[in-house]
Amino acid sequence: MADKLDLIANDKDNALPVIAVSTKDGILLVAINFSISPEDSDTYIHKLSEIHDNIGMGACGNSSEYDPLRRQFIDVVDRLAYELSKDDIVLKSLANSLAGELRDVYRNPRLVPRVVFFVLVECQEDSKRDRFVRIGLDGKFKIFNNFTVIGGNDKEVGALMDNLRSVEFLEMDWPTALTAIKEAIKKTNIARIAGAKKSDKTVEPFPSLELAILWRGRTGRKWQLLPHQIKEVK
Amino acid sequence: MLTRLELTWRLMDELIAQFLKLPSAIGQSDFKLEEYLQQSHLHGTTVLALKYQGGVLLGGDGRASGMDFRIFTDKTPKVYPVSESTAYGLSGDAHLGIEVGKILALTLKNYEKKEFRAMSFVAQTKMLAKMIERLLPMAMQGRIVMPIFVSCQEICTIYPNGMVVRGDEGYGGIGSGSPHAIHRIKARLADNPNPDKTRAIEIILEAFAEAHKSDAATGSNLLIYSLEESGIAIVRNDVGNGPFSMNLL
Repeated sequence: MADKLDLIANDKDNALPVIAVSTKDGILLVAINFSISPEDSDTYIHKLSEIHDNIGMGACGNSSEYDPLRRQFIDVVDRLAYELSKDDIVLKSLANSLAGELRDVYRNPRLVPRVVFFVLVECQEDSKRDRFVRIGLDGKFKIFNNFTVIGGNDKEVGALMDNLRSVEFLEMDWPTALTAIKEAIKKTNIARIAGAKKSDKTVEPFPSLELAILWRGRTGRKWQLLPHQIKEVK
Repeated sequence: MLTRLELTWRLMDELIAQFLKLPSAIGQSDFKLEEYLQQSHLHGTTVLALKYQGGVLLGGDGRASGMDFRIFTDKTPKVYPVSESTAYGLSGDAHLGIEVGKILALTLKNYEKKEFRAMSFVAQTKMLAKMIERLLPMAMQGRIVMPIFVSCQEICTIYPNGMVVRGDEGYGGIGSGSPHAIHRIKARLADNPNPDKTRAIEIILEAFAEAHKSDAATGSNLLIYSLEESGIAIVRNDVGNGPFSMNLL
């Protein structure tokens, strides 16, 4: 097992955080995404995705490993929504099945674990009932109420969680919440890691952000991918 | 693992498998498909589409009638938006038609979620045509579905064998009342081939009134949508939340 973890250690460390917080307007998802470049800002590797009317997903790690899982997951949810109804999609059981998939690979002695981290968010009318599920590459999952962070580097995730814990996101609208998240990222100093990852001199001082929101007031599909932000904070 | 769009075909196959258990009319020596398809009670409906400057109107009456000319309800929606920019109108077997609409809406949403972009209109029409083609055995048993599919620029009618006919003249219609209605539309478009929205609504209401007068399977309650670049809006709704009412999106 230790050998296998050594094999993925580098990839794991490079997985940059995705932050999800519950605000007054809805659930805001922020992903630090290097694949968004100023030259070609339309084609990039998405880390945030819509799963269902009120469920969104953030992923980080190796995109070739999380994308098939994401597609499979969307099929499962659509199938359930067709056979039952749109309101019968329960986040907890879905998260369980996704976590099971990851756990099976993680525990199999013949396979190398996938380097993927997921956050599943469920937006409700009452903000106190919003749910955040964090799934690690070992298939363990944990449920949060107000916000959560995923990422490969445990130290960084811990520091970000600490910095975000004191902020009252539930009373903010989403632009204010975004500013607070940027401040937290700045304090955690992820730019340092960005510099370490890309050794050439043209590296951006601050990574680009991919943004999405699940609007609380809307009926039907609540998901909206917001225009991403490039080099906002220096 | 399911690959792209495989979910759609799997759901369609399951839908067909349900119905193939029914006794088939095929195999009886005196069965003639053409005559059978001409029986108007199989698609007793009027659904019309009409182009205007900047968009398309799609409307349907609200009558659901049975084989013995019995009216089950006068308040059923027959036109449904299936994505943010396209809508679907059905004639023929209501249950099968609505199921096809649901699977189509699901497919488009599924594609959008996976690929981060909406499916093009051509691809959407192809998907629907393939689905209808798969239902050909069902059509031969009398369970015809003949849909009309529109975006804000195009009108496509799809025949039970999967053939797509584009309504380039600016109008389209399906169902037993549509011949009467289309005569009226043609006459009104002769002097003004590209009407504005107000005029188009007048024309389509007149055509529906004509269909209601001439066809027993067409009711007077209407549900009309307008499709424009900016989105889909309801122009007129007499059916409310009818008995088969469901949001396909």
